[in-house]
Amino acid sequence: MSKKTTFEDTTSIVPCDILYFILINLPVKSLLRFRSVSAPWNAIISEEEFTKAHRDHSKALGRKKLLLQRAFTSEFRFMDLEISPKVAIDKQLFPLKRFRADHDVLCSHDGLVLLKKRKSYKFILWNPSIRQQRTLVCPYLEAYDDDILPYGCGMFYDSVTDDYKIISIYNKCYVIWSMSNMNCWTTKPTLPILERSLFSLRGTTNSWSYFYGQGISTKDCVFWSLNQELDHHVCKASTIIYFDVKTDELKELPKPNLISEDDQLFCLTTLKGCLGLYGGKTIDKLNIWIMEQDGWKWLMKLCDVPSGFCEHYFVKHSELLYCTGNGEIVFKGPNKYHFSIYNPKQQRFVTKPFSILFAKTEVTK
Amino acid sequence: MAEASSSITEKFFLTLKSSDGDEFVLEESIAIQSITIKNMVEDGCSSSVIPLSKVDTETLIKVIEYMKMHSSTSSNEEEIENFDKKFVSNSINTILNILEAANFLDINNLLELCAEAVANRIKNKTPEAVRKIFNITSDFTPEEEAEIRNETPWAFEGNLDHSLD
Repeated sequence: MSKKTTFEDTTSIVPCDILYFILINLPVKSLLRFRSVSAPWNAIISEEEFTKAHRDHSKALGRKKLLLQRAFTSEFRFMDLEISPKVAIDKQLFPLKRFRADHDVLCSHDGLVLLKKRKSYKFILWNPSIRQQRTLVCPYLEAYDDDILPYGCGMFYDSVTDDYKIISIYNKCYVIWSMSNMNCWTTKPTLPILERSLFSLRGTTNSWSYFYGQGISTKDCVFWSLNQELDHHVCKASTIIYFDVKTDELKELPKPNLISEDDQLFCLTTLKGCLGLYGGKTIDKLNIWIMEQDGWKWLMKLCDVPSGFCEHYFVKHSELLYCTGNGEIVFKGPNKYHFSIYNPKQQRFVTKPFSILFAKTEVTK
Repeated sequence: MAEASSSITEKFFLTLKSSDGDEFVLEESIAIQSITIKNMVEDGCSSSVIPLSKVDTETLIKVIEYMKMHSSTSSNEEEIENFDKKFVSNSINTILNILEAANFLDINNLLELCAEAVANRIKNKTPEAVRKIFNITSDFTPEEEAEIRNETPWAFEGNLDHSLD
């Protein structure tokens, strides 16, 4: 009852508890606009508890947007995954002018996007839904060359401490940033596996001028897949590393034993909120597994994979983006100008051109 | 009354009474989608008429229509989906009334359906239109309102909807 009286609006025809159910379903932009409706509305919307409940509600509904960036510009487009990767629901220029055309998207999760300006050790954490950004300066990177790009970068939400964490991996060390402790960075020596030059981190290459891996975020964890690179075009055998939230350090994940010798090379993705793994050595077939609470499970085999998805292309330009509500699987690729949708019922791929270049998922509405 | 066991396949009927005094007879298995009614049945107070003092006749008809569709084993997913689509095309005020009834009767699916429908209908509206729909008098001074608007001016840009439905 005490909660009710705080915001009781005697003029409204709608009781406060019902208003809450309506507001939690609104997009962020509408909420910011409706702060000006009345003081009680403003009070509900501005409450930290409501903000968190709204985020969790959007996550629970699996509402995700696809973020696309026009190549060599700072123009971003947001696509509704349930509509089509072709229809933009919002367009934004990256807000910091001095950053334009000179930055890389390192990773994104829960509506937050981490960028890095080239030739600088500063990071920018951007929240496009509320159009705010924050500059992060890592003290441990100042000693490095200005131009340093992490081998891999990932972000995840730690539900125990209600905190966002960013992990940025370099050849000798990795750094951890925590949102709740403003500007608190920790550094740790890197894993032996990462020091070996044979390995290069492969998540998704977001930019063709640099090579770094975007971490795959799931609940309370972030993963990367490492590919052993034999030469420029041929990769063999993948390893998964992850950030262990309990011990606060990077670890190697035991190789799932369902991976056969033929499927040594694989990539990671998120499917239904879980870690997904896909790959296959046969050119026209692709297997998908998903890691549920009780372990890895085989999800499906994709047949009739377009020829462009063959091994080295697969590594360079293709990426499993997401699974739609009706079970279709959307890929970036077979090349950087197209995306492909696989329909499991018809067992067919349909390839369409992207209106703009490269893509990354995981932005909550 | 209390000895009525739920495991018996025989059909039980309940009588629901709206705030306007109209009575509706409904199969118990359909009515207990409402947790409020289910609790009443379990507490044994359903032998006579169940008065729903917060739900008017027009709203109760809609709620019963919804419960019938969502409980019947014969309706398939597609039918339900089409029904829901049509259901939320009622006027905002009707949906708001149903929403309130769903909250009182504790029918979670209906509550979620209506809350999302109202959100969809108002998401592109101006704050002025929202005030009229919800019958709210702004308690901000013009200065306070301008200050809030200036914090996120972009949220007020684009093709906003001034209509009241």
